[in-house]
Amino acid sequence: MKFPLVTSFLIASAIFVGSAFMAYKIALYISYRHSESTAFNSLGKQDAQELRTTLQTLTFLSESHLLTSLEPSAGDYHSTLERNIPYLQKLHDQAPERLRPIIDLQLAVDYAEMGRFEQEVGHLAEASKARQSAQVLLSSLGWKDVSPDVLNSLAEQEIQPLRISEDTK
Amino acid sequence: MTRSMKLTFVLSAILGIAAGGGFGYSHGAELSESMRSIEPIGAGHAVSDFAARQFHYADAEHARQAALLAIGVHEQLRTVAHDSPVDAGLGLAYVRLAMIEEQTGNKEAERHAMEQAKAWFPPSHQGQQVSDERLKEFLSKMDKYGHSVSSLPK
Repeated sequence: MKFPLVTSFLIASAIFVGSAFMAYKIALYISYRHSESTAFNSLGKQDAQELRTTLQTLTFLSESHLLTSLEPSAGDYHSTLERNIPYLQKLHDQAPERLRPIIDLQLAVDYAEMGRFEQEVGHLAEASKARQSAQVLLSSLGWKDVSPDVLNSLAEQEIQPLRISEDTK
Repeated sequence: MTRSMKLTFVLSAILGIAAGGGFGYSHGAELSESMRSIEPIGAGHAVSDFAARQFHYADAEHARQAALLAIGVHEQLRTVAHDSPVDAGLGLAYVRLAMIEEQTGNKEAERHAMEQAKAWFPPSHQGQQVSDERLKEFLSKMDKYGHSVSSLPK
């Protein structure tokens, strides 16, 4: 070895940085999980668990809505919707019974948007299928009017910010 | 590799693990703490938005269920977030319930819900309690200018 001191220092530094990075990631994960699992324990085990589930479900729901809202282009928006729908269906299956209607409404909105996109690109069968899914969900939520006009307005309302940003490009 | 080099490398690894682990543990706890302060806001907004849409477009029974769900979730949130947005959210959820009861002609239930609502809105500096009409008007304006129900056909 030509410069043993320098080489050793560099290797030792690399080992330090590498092990610190790995330990940081692992400790971050463990600490976060631990804090989350013990959060609200002062409320009692059952109440704490119920609150954690409520917050997680509604946070996931808000995040999924945010993801579709922030997509920059129509193509990305469509593929995000395609990913979002199964995600919401899974969330619905895992959510407590009382929170399921909120997820159903978001699913209906996503189906309405999907129907509108499919209609615009001429996929009439897919558009009709998506609209029917939206109508079934909205009817189960007690909506008095589930006509195509309402679905279009519902979709338009969600797409509007995207349209505005696309127009300004 | 000499013995001293081996010792240096092992020591570097131990120091790295200790430093990274310490930072990671403290950041993980901080991250969880910040999530706990953000989550109630998002959760409150999600249920309020749902109740608003149901109030405007669903039948009375489903709208009532949505308002009761909003009340239940806000009350649950109050156990961990004692701040004014959560209190106001709970108050407005009761106002929503009162408006549903008013529409269905349940005067007694409406009066009871408004009483519950007012408990969450402090009186003005002059000691005046906010009126029922003012609260209903405020909620209607929030719905009108809010995201959820502004442009759907009625």
